[in-house]
Amino acid sequence: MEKGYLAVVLHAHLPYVRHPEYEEFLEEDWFFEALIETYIPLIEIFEDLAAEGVNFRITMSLTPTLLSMLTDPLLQYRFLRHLDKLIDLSNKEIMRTQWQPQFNKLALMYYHRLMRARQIFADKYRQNLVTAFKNLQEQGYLEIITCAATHGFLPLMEINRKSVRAQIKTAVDHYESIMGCRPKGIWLPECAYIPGLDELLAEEGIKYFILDAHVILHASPRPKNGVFAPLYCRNKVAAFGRDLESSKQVWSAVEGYPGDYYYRDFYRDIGFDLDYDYIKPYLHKDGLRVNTGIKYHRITGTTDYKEPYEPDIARERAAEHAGNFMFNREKQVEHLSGMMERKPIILSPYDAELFGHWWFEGPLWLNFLIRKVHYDQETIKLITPGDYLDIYPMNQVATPSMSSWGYKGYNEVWLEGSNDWIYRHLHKAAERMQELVNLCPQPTAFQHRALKQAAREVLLAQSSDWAFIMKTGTMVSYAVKRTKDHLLRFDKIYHGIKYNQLDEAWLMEIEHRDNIFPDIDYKLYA
Amino acid sequence: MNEKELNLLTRQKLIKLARQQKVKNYSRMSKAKLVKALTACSKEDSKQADLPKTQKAQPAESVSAETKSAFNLGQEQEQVEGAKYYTGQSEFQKLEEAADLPAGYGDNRIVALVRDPYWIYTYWEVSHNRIKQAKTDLGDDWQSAKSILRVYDITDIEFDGSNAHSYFDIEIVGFPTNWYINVGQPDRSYCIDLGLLTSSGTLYTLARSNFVSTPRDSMSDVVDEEWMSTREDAEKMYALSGGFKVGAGSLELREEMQAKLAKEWASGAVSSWSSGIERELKERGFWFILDTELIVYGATEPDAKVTLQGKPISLRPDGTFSVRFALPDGKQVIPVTATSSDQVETRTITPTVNRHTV
Repeated sequence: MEKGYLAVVLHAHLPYVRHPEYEEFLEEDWFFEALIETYIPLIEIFEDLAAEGVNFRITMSLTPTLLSMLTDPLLQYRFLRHLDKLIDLSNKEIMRTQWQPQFNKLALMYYHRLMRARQIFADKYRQNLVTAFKNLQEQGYLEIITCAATHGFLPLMEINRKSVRAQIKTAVDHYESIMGCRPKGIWLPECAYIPGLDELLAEEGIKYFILDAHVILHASPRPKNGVFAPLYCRNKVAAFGRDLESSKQVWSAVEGYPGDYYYRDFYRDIGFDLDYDYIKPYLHKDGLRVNTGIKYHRITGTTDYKEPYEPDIARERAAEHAGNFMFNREKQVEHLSGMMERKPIILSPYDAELFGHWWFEGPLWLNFLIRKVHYDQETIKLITPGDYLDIYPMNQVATPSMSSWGYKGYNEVWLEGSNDWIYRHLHKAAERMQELVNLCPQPTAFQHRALKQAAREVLLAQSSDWAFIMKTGTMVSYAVKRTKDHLLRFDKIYHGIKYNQLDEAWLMEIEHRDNIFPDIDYKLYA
Repeated sequence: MNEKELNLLTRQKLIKLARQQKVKNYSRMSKAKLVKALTACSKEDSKQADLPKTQKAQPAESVSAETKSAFNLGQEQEQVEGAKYYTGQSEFQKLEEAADLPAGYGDNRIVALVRDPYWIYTYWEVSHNRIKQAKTDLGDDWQSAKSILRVYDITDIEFDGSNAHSYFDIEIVGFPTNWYINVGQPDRSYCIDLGLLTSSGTLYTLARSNFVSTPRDSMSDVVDEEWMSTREDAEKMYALSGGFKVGAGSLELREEMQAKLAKEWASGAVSSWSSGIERELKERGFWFILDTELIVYGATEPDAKVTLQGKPISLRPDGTFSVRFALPDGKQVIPVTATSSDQVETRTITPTVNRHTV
């Protein structure tokens, strides 16, 4: 009989990036790379484990923007095109590296991985991977939770509570339309919470969300069980806290597993390493060197000299690390079980894209971990937060503070010199959205379309990704452009409706570009 | 070099610079991160300069958020999350600039947003009408009035404009439209007036903000009767949840957290794996990489079969072919054989290549 529980939570998210107005678009690569390196490998390991009869429970959030991209025909088509190009490149690489056996076996590895990805994506799931996740949920292996509609940073939207509500309700409705049931839990974008949010979650029947450790520990009144049991907010929505020890072992590039010198290096990529003329057909049209995902080196050390990657050794390391992770959790649970009147839950949340994309061996590690937990021990059991609430429906009531899981634990990542300028505009747009809805109690068919599109533009502008990117400095001009584009499109619709001068051809073009949430209920802003 | 110039360099060049500048963890940074780190190097105390506006007046006990971090995973997690958006290029060149957003909306308002337990961000806009009105109302006082932000502590009261626990003023110089305010107090509620302070000391309010509360930054003092545990037990669980020493008061625990954060997590300074880096740091920045590839190409009848080192290779429709190999040191014997489609004729040509690197 187990003495405690381990809940692995994978937060899968990408902002909505889809540009039909361009033949190809660099930022769409975020999605393609995540598909090849994270989402497909995860599906593959989960299915293999299920087929083998291994019991496991994993929690995954699939954000509404990601779900929308996974089901979008244009992106599906473009992904296949991208995949086929890479398969062609990996084929050429097998030839090119013939006299370098240490690289040749890697070229072969990539070729087989890509072919397998193609088989899963195109043949098995006919380009719609949501089916795979849905099946895994129905078979009882995954608990899929939702997120705010466009990953908006909710505490900084609170000034207009309707827009917070719209983020949540749009997400839950969208989840239901795709998954066929209501979500049990929600991943709050950036784990960002503000007191009172629980009320909006309760309205949608959401049972739980996840917070960073300090937020649970600093909740009032004092939590009796630290982060090892959930708290109920006033509206009986449960808040689970992240366990820091297990988090650090995976998140930290320095101290954690992903920094192991035998693991694959993220930054060395043949897109940069190889002769320009050779690699050019596989880059983007403008010829800028970009990552291809074919990477031949291991981390090696803190130098920029890198040794060739050796998959067999990396595999052994992944197995060792999974064993170490499990051992530590067993010790943790044994220690805790003497101090608590109930079985503790250790909750370890990660970005799903950490597995495979950033940490190439991540999915393999997870595979080993699940297996070991199933076969090698009896102290811990994999569980989802939803399951835990079924076992322990009584929980302490307390109020957590405003917070996030970002650097320093509060809002600073999303509110600082590089990105603070966006909020006056975002707030104004939300306020004007409300004004528009109230202006048209009986909208014409055309106004109805315009109102729906206006709501989409507000939501898309609110993605926390833009502020995050402005702060971290990668692809800043894109994030600025996206913020401005959506706000300006909203502005145009706002004035168009108000002064009855909306151009239908333009609206149609914008509906075609920003086509997320076809059934959006704009009245949420009323 | 400024940020723009740095952006034009390749990642490899930036790595060399980072090494010279002794930037920590440089080999695991993306291009954008490197640019950022290097820009920070060039202006040592950029931390302060980064704040858009520093305040003149500060409350008596001013606490910097820099030293009061919560114990979370911080920058390392940010790096990993950032990797999601990393394609190898930090900017996409072909995008046309979006038009500018309006500078204002003709509103008269001030909005407060909480940044963390110690800082509040506020932005505002004052309408022309409001200013006209103020001029009329203030009359002679208009010229000498100073623009200020008045920050009221309204914790646990229904604020009516005059019943705040306390307040402090910040004088605004120039024409900013936003400000970071160091309130320095977690778990308190605030309201901010944007107004004009006359020489006689009365405040003429132009706009009043929404009410905000700063979050707690430490363990609550409130103990739950129903779920009561001894002080010792509570601290034990607290310590276990964060990995800190048992038996210390919450203030000490917090300090320990900060120390832990500074030591281990802030920038990954301490690593058991970072041996050898010292020697690396002494290297000069110049660098040079050389590799060789070999292209074998030729032509035959379009329907012929061609093998190279025994392996079939494909022909283009016009019968030409070309194959490219990474060429390591050593000798390569490369027999290339063409066989006619009726298999009657066969030709073999065998180039031999030696690469020797001195």
